[in-house]
Amino acid sequence: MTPSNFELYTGNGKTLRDRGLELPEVPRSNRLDAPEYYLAEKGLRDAVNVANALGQPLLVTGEPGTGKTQLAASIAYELNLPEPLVFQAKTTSAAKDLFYRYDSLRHFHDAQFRQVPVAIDEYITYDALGLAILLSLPPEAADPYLPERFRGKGPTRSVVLIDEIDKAPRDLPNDILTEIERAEFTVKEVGRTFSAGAGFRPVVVLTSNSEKNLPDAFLRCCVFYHIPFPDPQRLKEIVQLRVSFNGNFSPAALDHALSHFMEIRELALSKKPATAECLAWLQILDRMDVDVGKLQPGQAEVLAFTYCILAKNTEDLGRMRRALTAPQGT
Amino acid sequence: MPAALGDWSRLVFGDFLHQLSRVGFVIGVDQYLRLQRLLELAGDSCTPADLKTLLCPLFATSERQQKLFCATFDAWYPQFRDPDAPPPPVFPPPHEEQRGSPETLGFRRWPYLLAAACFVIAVFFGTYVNRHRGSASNVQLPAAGVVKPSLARVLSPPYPVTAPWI
Repeated sequence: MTPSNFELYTGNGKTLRDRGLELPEVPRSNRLDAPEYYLAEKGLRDAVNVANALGQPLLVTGEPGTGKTQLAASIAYELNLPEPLVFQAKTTSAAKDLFYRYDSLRHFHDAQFRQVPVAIDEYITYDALGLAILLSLPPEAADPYLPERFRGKGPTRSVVLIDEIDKAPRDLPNDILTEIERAEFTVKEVGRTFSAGAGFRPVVVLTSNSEKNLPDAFLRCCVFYHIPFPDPQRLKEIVQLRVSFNGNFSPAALDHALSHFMEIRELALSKKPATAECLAWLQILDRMDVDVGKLQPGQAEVLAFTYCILAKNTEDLGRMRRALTAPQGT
Repeated sequence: MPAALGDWSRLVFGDFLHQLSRVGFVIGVDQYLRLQRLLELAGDSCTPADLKTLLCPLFATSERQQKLFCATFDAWYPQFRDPDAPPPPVFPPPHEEQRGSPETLGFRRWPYLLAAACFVIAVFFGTYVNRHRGSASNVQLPAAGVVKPSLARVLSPPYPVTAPWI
């Protein structure tokens, strides 16, 4: 992509048609999210295998953008399991929400206004861990309760991702401990209990951004791993695996960009850019043909502009731009 | 609270677990059982060097503990390979680290000392200023009932004031 058709939005009321341009399709590299291109370091690999061997949940922490969430997809892919069942923790989440939700309001409404009596099961929606337990059962036992897209898939093991558990209320982790250990839950509204089929226990992966401390009892029941930011060599391997550059972005340009990125991480930033930001930034440099080591006239401004991908707030953006314009060695 | 392990020497990796407990890890029976189970499962396929990344997820529960575990393992591992090697250095337990050495405490105490000094200066300054004000100006309050003309204008406006609720 050349700079002329990079600047599609000019902000002055001129349309693309006025300028004789067309809105191009944005090519998105499918490698960025594809689990087959996920590269786990030895510590993480061992933690996954330990959790799997002991049948314990795996708790993963790390800077945002280090691949915590994508780990679940990678595990599911390599273990030949269906795509992960995701539960996004919220500040209002309760332990029961992990298994199922009962829409009491709609049930009440229908009970008042519909002529035909309705079954309570119509108002129960199974969520990640509940679905995983149902999928571990034979189809004849599970299919009546499963959504259509899951029917006939069991019995199978599943990967359950409980994302950002530190966002949930403090009691939630302790509340779900027993259910995760037993792989069992009860739908109180109908008095029905489901237990995971033997040999089909779900693989549970939890992520945390460490915004809040988790209870000790919960931590002791998990296999823990903190994903550190990769060293330069490893970062290069990840980039080469996940980003497909066009021909103009030479290996030397990649080296320049990566060393520049590592210098940026060394600045006193409130939120350091992580691997995900690095991948996005490199793609922009590639599209704009910017070699950080050999800046053409006018490209310093373009480079400063690209920092908005790396910075998470105005102060950090300012620091990065000041570092770019500061004389070398200061 | 997990049941703590007492006599380390009888346990598998007892000396290493003892090292861990000395640097602040709380190693309970549950974790030890998991360690044994893991060794049974992975024992044949892993080398001693793999133990660090295999055992760490069992004992560490935070980023800080993960680093501490690795440092403790790295210090202990040469002795495991060669029992004649010098004993590993003992890292200070984290609770002692948190309590801080006398130097650290002195360093941490300075904001309080500064705040106390500021308070004393402020009290001294306030007393000094009050004393000087009292002696320098004997301002006499106007007698009760005497209202300055400008104030009287405000209090009795030139237009009639009617209260609708009266």
